[in-house]
Amino acid sequence: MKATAAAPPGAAGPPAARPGPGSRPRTRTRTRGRLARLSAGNATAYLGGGIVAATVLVALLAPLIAPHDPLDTDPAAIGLGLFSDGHLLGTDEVGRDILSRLMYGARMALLVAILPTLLALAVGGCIGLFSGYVGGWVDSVLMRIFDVMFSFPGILLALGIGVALGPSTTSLIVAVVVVTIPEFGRIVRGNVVSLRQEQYVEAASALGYGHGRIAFRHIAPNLLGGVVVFATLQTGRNVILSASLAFLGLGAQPPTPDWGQMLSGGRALLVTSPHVATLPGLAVVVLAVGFNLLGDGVRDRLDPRSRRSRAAKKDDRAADGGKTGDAAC
Amino acid sequence: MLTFILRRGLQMIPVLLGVTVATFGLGQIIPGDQATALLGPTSSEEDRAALRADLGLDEPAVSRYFTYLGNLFSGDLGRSLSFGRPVSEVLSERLLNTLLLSGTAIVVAAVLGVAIGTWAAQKPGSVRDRGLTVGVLFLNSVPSFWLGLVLIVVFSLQLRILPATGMTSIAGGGALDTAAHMVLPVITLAAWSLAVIARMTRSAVLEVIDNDYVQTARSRGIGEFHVVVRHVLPNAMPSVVTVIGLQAGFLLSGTVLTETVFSWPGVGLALQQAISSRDIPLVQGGILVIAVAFVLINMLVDVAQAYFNPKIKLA
Repeated sequence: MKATAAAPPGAAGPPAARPGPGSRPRTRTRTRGRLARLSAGNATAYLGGGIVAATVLVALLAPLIAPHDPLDTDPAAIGLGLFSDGHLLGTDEVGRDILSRLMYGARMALLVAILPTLLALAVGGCIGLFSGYVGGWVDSVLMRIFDVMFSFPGILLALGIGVALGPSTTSLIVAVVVVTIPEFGRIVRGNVVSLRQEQYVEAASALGYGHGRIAFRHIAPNLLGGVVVFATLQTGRNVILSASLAFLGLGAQPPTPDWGQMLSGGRALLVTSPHVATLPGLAVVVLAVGFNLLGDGVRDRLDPRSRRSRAAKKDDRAADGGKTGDAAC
Repeated sequence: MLTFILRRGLQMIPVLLGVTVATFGLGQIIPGDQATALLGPTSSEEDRAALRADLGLDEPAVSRYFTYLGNLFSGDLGRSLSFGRPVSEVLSERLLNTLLLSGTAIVVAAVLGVAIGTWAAQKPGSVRDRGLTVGVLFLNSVPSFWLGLVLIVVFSLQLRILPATGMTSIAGGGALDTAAHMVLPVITLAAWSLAVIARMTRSAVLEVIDNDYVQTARSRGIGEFHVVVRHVLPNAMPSVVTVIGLQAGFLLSGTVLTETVFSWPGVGLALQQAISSRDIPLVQGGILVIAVAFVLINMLVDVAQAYFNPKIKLA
């Protein structure tokens, strides 16, 4: 939303830019509106960024701030409730401290969400760039392969790969990467196809630059904004996908602290100590919300189409007295 | 229309073949000796040799793929290692339960999603509209298995008004008993799709709600309800139908998690059991069945879209 504030002063129409006796109150209102939108847009990004940053901090400092060793079991303290003596969030089905396991589990949650996103971005991005740039039958073949991969619901494909490779953190990461590659490939390819027609690309070609230089130095930097937004939102989706696979037993194996696996194990105590299963799930929700808010905020700041549509909608609202709303939801 | 359906059907063939290649490939990427991986390191050499012969592991992969494809055409999905029965038998007796659950969930998600999306679009920027936006963000960030557990804790363990797991009570029961068992799994399964459908409906309705023909209808004194139902929704439907169809496909895959949480005896639960015992043939079969259903649903969505928007047929 800051993007709206950064729009040229005359973007809303000539009368607004024209100084005159009646223009000051309107300008003030407009400025206030812009400031409100600016802070609202930033608030989304800051809130999301704050949640993600806090999770990263907890993950990094887990050995220093965790009150107990996450692997220490206490048979005498199984399923302790919230705010128990020495265990703020209680203990799990084998007497391990839940707060400590949540803190250490943040490491795994971030690893299996961020690393697959980066790997898929690198592989899928290169395939998309190559496919969109080369075009022709190579493009057709690669897109048909992506079509087949899209014909699988992501979780099923990831599940199949996870089972075939055997349950482990590595196989979970591989599974999420494979599922995510076509998403990045399709996004990048679509943008490359349109950017290839741009004059600066034609100019670079006319100057005799090589294909690699044109693709990576002239086209790729212009893909960055959209890809960063998509990668942030995809990381949020990967938090949930990875937790789902871990819940089904395909991620890190016990006793490694992992939110999905903690939730699955906690089901045994659902009747007597429901917090054992629900707290790790809540951690997943909070982190996913954090990435989604951050992605929305980054989109508002980076995506020029989002800027334009918001500015246009603002003008529409101003024109018809606020009757129409934000159709992009 | 028939030409369109035929053309779309033909386009589906390579995708379906790709799906079979992928499910076959799952059996091939098992690291190390497949027989040992499937039967475990403690299995005897005789058992491993028998399994290798049974699965044709000594033959080249291409030849095995064509054997696999031929078997699929005759309805043979292999033999489940954990159930000790044909995979097709294990899946077919559970498929109806999965379809019942996912079918009900998509109907609930579609009806409520369209209603909520339309309701929010009627007053953009209002509290209810903002509520929808926040609700969508929240539901998009909630894993279904966690939502299911929370519902069990609240409605089954605390309030004790709905059964937590299974499809029928131990003492048995009729349709009402099954319906009661379906409430929580259906809510869990439908929640995410409901949010997506509501968001799409809201956008689609906003695009048409101020069009000239809608204004004309209002100026003729037609009530707002009839304006929305007769003039707005039919014109907003093409994009909404697409999303509903896609969500129906995703719901099928979502049953793996929901059925696991609620111990609902469907294909998803069988898949979860197959994961625990590393029963690759059953995993392959379960994934194949759901993926084929997903492809078929996508085709139906395209046909429905063409029905609502004749321009698509010409494309």
